[in-house]
Order: sequence, then C-alpha cells, then structure tokens
Amino acid sequence: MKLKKMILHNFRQFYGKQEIDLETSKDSNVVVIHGENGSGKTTILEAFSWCLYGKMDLAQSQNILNEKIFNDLPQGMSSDAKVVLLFEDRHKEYLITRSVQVKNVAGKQYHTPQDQTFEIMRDGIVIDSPKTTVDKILSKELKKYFFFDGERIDKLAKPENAKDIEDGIKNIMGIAVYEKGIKHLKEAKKILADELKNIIPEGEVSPYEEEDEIIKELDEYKIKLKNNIKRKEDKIAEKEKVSEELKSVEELERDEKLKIEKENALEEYNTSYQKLIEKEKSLISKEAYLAISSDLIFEMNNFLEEKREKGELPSGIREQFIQDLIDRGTCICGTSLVEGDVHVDHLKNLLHKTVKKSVEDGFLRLSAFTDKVSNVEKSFKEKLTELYGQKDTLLGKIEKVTAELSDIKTEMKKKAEGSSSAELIAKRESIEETIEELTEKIGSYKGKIEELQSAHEAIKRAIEQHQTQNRQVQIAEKRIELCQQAIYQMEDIYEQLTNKVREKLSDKVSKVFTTIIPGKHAKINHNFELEITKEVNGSMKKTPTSTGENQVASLAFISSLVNLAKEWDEGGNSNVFTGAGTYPVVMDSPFGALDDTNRDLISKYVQSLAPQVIVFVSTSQWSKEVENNLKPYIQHEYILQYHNPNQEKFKASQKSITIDGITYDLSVQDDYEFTKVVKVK
Amino acid sequence: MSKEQEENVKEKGLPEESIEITDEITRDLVKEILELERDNLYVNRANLKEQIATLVKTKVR
Repeated sequence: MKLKKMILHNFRQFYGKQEIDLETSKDSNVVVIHGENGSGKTTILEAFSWCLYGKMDLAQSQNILNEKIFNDLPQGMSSDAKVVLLFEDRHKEYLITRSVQVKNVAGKQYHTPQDQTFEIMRDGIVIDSPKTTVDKILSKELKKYFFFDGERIDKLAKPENAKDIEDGIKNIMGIAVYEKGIKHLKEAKKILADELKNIIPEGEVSPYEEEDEIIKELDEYKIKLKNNIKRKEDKIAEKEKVSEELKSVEELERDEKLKIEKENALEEYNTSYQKLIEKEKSLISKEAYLAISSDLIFEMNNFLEEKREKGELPSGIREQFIQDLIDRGTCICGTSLVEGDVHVDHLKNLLHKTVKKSVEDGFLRLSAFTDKVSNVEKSFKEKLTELYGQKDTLLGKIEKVTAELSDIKTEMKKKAEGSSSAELIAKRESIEETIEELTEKIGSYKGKIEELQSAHEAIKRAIEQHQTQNRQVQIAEKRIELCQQAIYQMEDIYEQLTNKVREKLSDKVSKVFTTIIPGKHAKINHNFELEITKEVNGSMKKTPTSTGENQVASLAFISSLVNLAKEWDEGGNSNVFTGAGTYPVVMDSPFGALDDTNRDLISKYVQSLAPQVIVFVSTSQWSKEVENNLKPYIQHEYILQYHNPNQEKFKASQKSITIDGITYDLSVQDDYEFTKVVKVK
Repeated sequence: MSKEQEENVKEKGLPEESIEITDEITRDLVKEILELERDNLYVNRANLKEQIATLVKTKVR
C-alpha cells in the first residue's frame, strides 16, 4: 500500500476541499505535516481510518461535517462530508471515497451508517466488495500498527501489551490464517462429530452380535433337528423290526386260522368222502345186481320182440289202434276211411284177428320190466362213474389240504420261536409314541429353524444396512481423524511459523534498537514481550526502561514488522504470509514523549521505518536536529493552518514555522473556524 | 479380501475397503483450508466451519 493522495471535503475542521499529496519516492519517502495542537493532525490520522473503515476515534465523532457548513445548514437540511483516499497496492490504483450525509436535526449533526456511501474504484473501475477489498489490503487489525499516535506507541513495549505484539506478528505475517484455520477446523470437526452421533444412536446393539446369537441358536436347533431326525429314523427302523417280528406273530395267528380253516376243510372233505363211499355202497347194493343180470334180460327182450313181431304175442295197442283209426275215419297216411270201403273192411278183419287182452297185458308187463332193467343198468353205471369222479376230486383236495396243513404247522413251529406278540405290540406302541414325540419335536424344531432363518435373513438385511451404516460411520470417523491430523499439522506449522517470524522480527528489532540506542538491546521474547536488555558483565540482563526507550523499541518493532512484510512480499511469499506487503507508517507526534537525545536518534531513523512515512509534528517537536535528519527524505511538506475567528485565542496561539527560509503562519484569524492545508513542498 | 479384513467385516462390522488418511491428503486439506481462510480472512462469514467440513468430506468419502 502506497498512499498517494488524501482529499478532505468539509470533513471536520477542514472546510471545503483540502488536498494532501502523499505520494513519495523511494529516496524521498517522508511526508511531514506540521500543525499545532488542535489544528487537525489527529483528524487527518483518523480521516484515514474513517475513509477505510467508516469509524474514527475522535472526540465528538458524530460531528463529521465541517462546523461552518453545518452552521449554515438550515434545520432539517443535509450536507455531505467526504474523504477520498488514493493509493496503490500491488500495482493497482485504488480510489476510495467515503461520504456521509449529515442532517441538521435541532442544531445537531444527525446521521446513521445508512447515510454513509462507500465506493472503491480499482484502476478506474468500481468494485463490488469495497469492504473486503479494504480488509485484504489493510485490515482493521493491522491498521493500528501503521496508523498510530506516536506519543502512545511506547505502550507496545510494555509487558501487558505483549498480546498486541503477538497479534501484530500473526496478523502481518498471515499467521492468523493458521490460527483461524485451526479454529474453524476444530468447529468443522465438531460438526462432523455431531454427524457421526446421528449415524449411530447411542446404545444401539450391533447386528453382528444379534446375528451371532441367531446363528448359535440356529446351529443348536439344527443339531437338535438332525439328532431327532436320526432318532426318529432309528425308531422307525426299530418299529419296522418290531413290526416285522410282530408280523411273524400275526402270520402265526393267521397260520393258525388258516390251519383251522384247512383242518375244517379237511374234515369236511373227509366227511364228504365218507358220504360218497356210503353212497357208493348203497348204489352197488341196490343196483349192482341188475348190472350183473343185464345180458339175460337182453336175451329175454329179444325173444319177446321176436314173438311180438310174429304176432304170437297179442298187442293191445293194435286192436285199440285199429279201432281208433276206423272211428276217426282217416288213416295215419291220410287215406279217408269210410264205412263200407275196402280199407275199413280190411281194418275190421284185422280187429278180428287180435289176441285176447290178458295175454297182451302180460306181454306188455314183461316188456316193461325188461326195458326197466335195461334202464337201471345204464343209470347205475352213470352214477357210479360220477361217484368215482367226486371221490377222486375230494381225494385230491384232501391230499392238498393235508399237505398245506403240514406246511402250515411246520411254518408255525418256526414262527412261534421268539418273543410273544403282546410284548412286541407294547414295544411297538412305545416306539410309535416315541416316533410321534420325535415327529412333534422335529416339527417344532423345523418351525423354530424356519423362524430363526427368517430372523437371520432379517438380521442379514440389518447387517447390510449396518455395513452401509458402518461405512458411513467409518467415513465419518475418518473425516474426524483427518480433521484432527490437519489440526495437528496446522498447529505444528503455526507454532513453527510464529516462532520463526518472532525470531526474525526479534533480530530486526534488536538491530534497529541498537542502531538508535547503542549499548542496549531489544528483542521479542518467547512471551512476545518487547524486552530491552543491557550487557552486564558479559551477559544480557533486563534493565529498567524509560518511555523513550520503550517508544524506540515500539518503533523498532513496527519498523521491523513493516520491513519483514515488505521483504516477504517482494520475495513472493504473499501467498504464504497473507500480511506480506508494503505498508506505510502514518505517525502522529512520533517525537512527542521523547527527550532531545532520543528524538534526534529516532528522527535519524524515521525514513527507515517504512517505505513510506507520514509524520505529523508540532513546532515543539520539530527541532533543528529533527529537521536536519528528515530533510533529505521529505517528499512533501504541509502545514495545517488554523483559522480562528476568536481574536484573543488567535493571539494566544499565534505561531509560525519557517521552512526553507519561508515563514508560515500556523494560526490565522478569520471569520470562522477551520483548518487549511497549506502545501509547503 | 484378506482374512484379517474378513474378520474385521465379521467381527467389527468394518467395511471391506478401509479408508486411509495419508499425509498427502492431510497436506492437501491444510493447503485448501489455508487458501479458504486467506480468501475469507477479512470476510465475516460464519459458514467457514461448514465450508471446511464440506472440504473434509470431499477428501474422505
């Protein structure tokens, strides 16, 4: 930052437009503004602050508008006060304009922050973020190190202000970035930690534990199921064996029944056979003689037939038959038989030739008998044949059943060996009960296993979810871990950087201080205190310090700060050390509290304080030595001429200053009170 | 997956892929945080912590 120009417009005691050219060169880097107390030196110092930040540290700071302008302002009317600052930073020109519209309200200046306008032009172009731009160029935190009241600068060297030293180092060197980064990173870590808390509610049981329990239980039930299935299979086998045994007994019973059936059948067959034998006996006894006499009867039949054919044996049939034919009138051949006809006559002759009825009957009876005997023989034989057939059939059956019975008995004997059927049945029933119980258990186990498998599936899904959740947990934890590692790294860098800068600054301070006050040393200790020491018997010892020494030490510190910032800026380290840059030093009354000796010493060093130095001095501080020391470096020189309407006051404060042989009145009587900036050089 | 990883998955429920925080990741994060802080050094933004948290999330995901 290189200041170029300040324009004050009706700002405080500066009436109208007052310009101060601040641009300096490398060799002539000093601007001196002379002014007596109350002439407006501090107002100009604060005008920088107001222009840059909108605030100033002055008595009656509400009264920004020039008094003359305000007094002329009718009640309720407004007028503007304005400060314009032109400067250069990193090869860009900035024009900052801040103005405020002040209203006359009951004779008092009234304005609010909203009445202020703030504009920055960079290389002629208005930029959008003026406040940020100002902060980046020269933050409010840094401003106090470069725009200060010299009479109070000695305070920096007091131990209680070590924090200002520390802050100055950190802010200028951009170490504050680390500090803020660490702070924000810790806050970010907390955000991430809160997010982690939200992922897993406190006290939640891991699904893996639940799964382990389920798997354990599932395994137990599977073993139980397996054992019971095996037991059931064993029992079923046992039952089958018992059933087999029992089957043998049952077969025995069935064999017994069969045996009885067979025995009954055999008995029946035997009875039937006996009956057939009886029947045979009866048949033979009743009808066998006819069969024996059948040939004799046959011969008799032939004899009788022969007789009959000869007519020797009367036939009752012929007589009756002939008579019937005559009565009917028709022959069996269809010939009509009419009385008197030949045929009828022939038939009547035949009737006369028939034998007597008794003879014929006897013959007929004998013929019937011989016929009957012939039939009996035939029937007997048939019956006997049938009987024999029946007997054969029965004998076959008897033989078969007898054999079967024998087999049954043999089998039964064999089967009868072993346990009793009752025991076997009881045993089988017991097994069946066991099987039933096992079946129930197996069913129950299967049900439980299904239930557990279902639960396991659910827990697997929960695990998947948990794994997803765990992934989130791990990520969240890793993020926190990363934060912590970054915090450690940043803290480490921060500490190293702070110490490095402190040591470097301390060296510079010591060098500057010793240059100004030979024989004494100043350094920035580990507690960031400006410490002034003196060599006593070969060792450096803290010594009591004067205000002057403290002021020199403070200026040495500021000077070192500015120069280090400039060095690092020129070394291209502005990205690392955000505060690196070129800064001016604007000092009000830098020699105010110094005795003559220190004032002379400091004045020799002022031009070295910063690349650009603006000093406000009163005539009492502007000694010949100071003038001589600064003269070679002065680029611009101004006087603040105080115009005063009060003649008495004017007479009392009337002072002048002679610069380069020309005398300038520092106080002028006028119609109204204001300060005029008069350019001397 | 190694046996140890399997055990981790089973016993601790850790995911298969482990996320390692390397020095490079940390360095990158620090660098980016510092850039963020520098950009916002004089800007009163309350959301820097959120921005850093988001930055961390992009590093570990």
